[in-house]
Amino acid sequence: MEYLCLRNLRLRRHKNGSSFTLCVPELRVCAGQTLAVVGQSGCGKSTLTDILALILQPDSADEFLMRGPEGDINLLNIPKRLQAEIRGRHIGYVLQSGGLFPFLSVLDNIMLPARLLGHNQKAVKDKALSLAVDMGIADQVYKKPQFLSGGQRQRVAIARALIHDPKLVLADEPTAAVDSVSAEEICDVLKRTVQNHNAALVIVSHDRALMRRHADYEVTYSLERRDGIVSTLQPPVRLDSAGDAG
Amino acid sequence: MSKALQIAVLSYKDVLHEWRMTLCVMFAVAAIATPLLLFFGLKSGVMDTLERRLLENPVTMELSSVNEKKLEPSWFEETASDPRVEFVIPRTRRLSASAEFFVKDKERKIRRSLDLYPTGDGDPLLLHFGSAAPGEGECVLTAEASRRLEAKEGDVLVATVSKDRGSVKAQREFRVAGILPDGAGATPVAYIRLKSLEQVEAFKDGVAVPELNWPGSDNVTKSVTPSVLLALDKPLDAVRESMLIQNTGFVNLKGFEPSCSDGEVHQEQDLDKQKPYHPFIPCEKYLYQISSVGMPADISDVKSLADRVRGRQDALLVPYNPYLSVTAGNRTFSILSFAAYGKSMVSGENCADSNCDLAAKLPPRVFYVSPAVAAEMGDGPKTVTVTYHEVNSRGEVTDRSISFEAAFVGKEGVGPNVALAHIALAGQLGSLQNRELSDAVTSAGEKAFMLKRRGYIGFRMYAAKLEDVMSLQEKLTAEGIRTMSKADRIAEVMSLDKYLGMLFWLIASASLAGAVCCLVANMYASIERKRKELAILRLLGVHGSTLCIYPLCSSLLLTLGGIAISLAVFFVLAYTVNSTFAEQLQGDEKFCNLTMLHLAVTVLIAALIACVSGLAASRRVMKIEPSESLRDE
Repeated sequence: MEYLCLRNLRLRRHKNGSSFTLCVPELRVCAGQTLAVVGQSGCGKSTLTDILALILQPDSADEFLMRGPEGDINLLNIPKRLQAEIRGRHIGYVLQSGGLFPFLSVLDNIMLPARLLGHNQKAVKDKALSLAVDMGIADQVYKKPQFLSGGQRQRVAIARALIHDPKLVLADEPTAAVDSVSAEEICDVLKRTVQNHNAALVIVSHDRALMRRHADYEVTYSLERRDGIVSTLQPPVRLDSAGDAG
Repeated sequence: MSKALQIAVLSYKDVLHEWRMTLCVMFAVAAIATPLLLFFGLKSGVMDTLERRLLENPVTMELSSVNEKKLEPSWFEETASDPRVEFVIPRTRRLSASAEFFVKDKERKIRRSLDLYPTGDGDPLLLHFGSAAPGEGECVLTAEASRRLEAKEGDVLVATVSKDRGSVKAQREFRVAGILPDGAGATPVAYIRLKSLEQVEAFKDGVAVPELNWPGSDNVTKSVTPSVLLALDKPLDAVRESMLIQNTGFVNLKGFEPSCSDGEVHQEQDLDKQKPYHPFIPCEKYLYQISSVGMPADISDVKSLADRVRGRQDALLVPYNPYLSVTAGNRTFSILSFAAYGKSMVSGENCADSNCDLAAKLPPRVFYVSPAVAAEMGDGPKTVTVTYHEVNSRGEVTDRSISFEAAFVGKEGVGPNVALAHIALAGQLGSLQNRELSDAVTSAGEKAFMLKRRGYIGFRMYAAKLEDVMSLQEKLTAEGIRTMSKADRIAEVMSLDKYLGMLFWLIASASLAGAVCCLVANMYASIERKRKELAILRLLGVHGSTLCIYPLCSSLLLTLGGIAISLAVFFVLAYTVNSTFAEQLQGDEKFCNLTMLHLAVTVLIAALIACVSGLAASRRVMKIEPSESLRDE
């Protein structure tokens, strides 16, 4: 099932006197799929992430929808409060070094998104503990994040991204702050857990090799100079790992 | 749990997590607030103690008159109804308010002179010091008086009042109903009922006090009149006219031409209102109205005037008081008197008759009216009310009256609205011009018109509240009554309170501005430190306005924590100050103290400052974008 549909989306940004235009002819993110967004610096990975995270609004789009069993949600030109609402309810985030709150325990960090949505405390706690077991950090739940390793923190971040059952999980360079062994483990856990939750996963990374081993699809950009820089998202390419994962 | 509450909880956990930083900010707040609390506590405690000491002593609230201005009983009634007045009682003349006392049953008679102060029910001085107001025949002594007399409560004292340099003495007994402590006054004073004090004054003034068998004269009123009418066949020349007002006690003279020719019938209702009317003065006579100014003329004045016209067969001299009227039932008559000299042309009355005796002490209480009116009123004595009503040129109204029993007798020639009275009866009733009269019994057992007392020359007054003392004193001064009070002391305390308050708020304003700046700076720095966390919260779907709760809550926690530390330090310091000065304090007095209201206001102001700081910092929080969480790692 398609969770996110983008068609003929366009966003132009101006910075230091030059302009950057991101064009997305078509992008569909489906449940259970892992989409890797790779490319060199300045190609528009962050801009695409901001659009997907409902932080930036495109200038125009023929289609910018979030689909769901309760119907489609048009994400184009919606008010900021609704953007925040959709962000909190339907999207999970895994940040570079976890983005955990140092004053909360691991368990409280995991539970935070669900608590902000007002979910049942007991159910949230049970689910957080279950996720902690899945992530292999069950014995760390009452510790503060600063007492965990980089890999463990990322596992906490993954658990936090999934606690409220989002449709889409956005992972922005989730392995940037860990060693290669941990990176493999994190990608593996991330993909597996997201698939188990039947969510769609979009990983933004500069490590193309790592992504080729773990993602189902890969999208890249083609850059051209035409009235500033124009970056066009290429159609997704199915990767060999898709069959293994899927 | 709502999103806002979750944000508040996160803020609380953050404050706890950064406990070192938190304590630093709290101590900074406490460093500003503690000196302020201590200053305000000292100001509040010292001022409260001073005010309580002033308030608790009724002497502070007392106003006593200094100059001897005559005050009518109506003034006391009006003053007592003033809500600023707790208690007021008249005082008699100070020179007449003393007596020599000794304890009756003691072998060794220690005679001491005591000042006599009036008291009555509700006297705050006596009530404050636990003594009830003395009853008739009782007194309450000050501590100094009891020491000098060696008297104790329950003793019977003999008071000796003397006059004429001690040649005439009178005695009465007082039981000691209570003894006041030294705080009530240092002078030897006996507090007695006002009536007892009036009796002492009356005796010293030479007036008999029959209730106590104290000798003296009866205060029977004497005849007076504001003017006389002189009727003559021919007018007087200017020299003779002026002789009528030279050394006669009269000042003004006004002449009237005859208003009718000989043989015309005299009609009361036809008369010119300006011309005085008397039924026994024929209208063809030349008439002079000779008047006094201010005080009415007395017997000797009328007699000296009679001497000036002695020998003139045509002269008729009649005392004339146009302000007197008598009311019986629903009928009112002008009171006119018989002639003082000469013979009435109409009635044949002359001064050889008893009705012309101006000096008669007990004139018959008879009014002569027209026979028709007398028949209508019937025989027997009636209760009548004689009223003196005058509006002078300045618009001041004199209105006094007296009721007594009198008979009405018919007399030919008297008009229907006139009541003729014995010359002495009209004269005595004329005293209403200056004094209230009472229908009383003389020491000889006869009914006579007695002069009531002439009001009072002072008072003892207690204000209801501390601030009323000054306003009452101002009011009394405006009335021409100089008073003595502790108003200066009260004003000093109140102005000290005011200036200390101003000083406090001056310092507090500067400190509070500093506290706000300190807190705002701290909150800005805190937000900058936590920018990443706040951006993540925005990414997790928390709207900017909801996120404002974060700095608001932090600010409240830090400020209130600081105030809590500050209050703890304050209480320790206040205890130390109060313990150090314990010897100077009485009862539950404190030099350094904050009331519950002060504490509540302190916390409220602190919360207000916290909100201002938190809201100022919130503006920065609103600008945090969720994208900031995705990069700048």
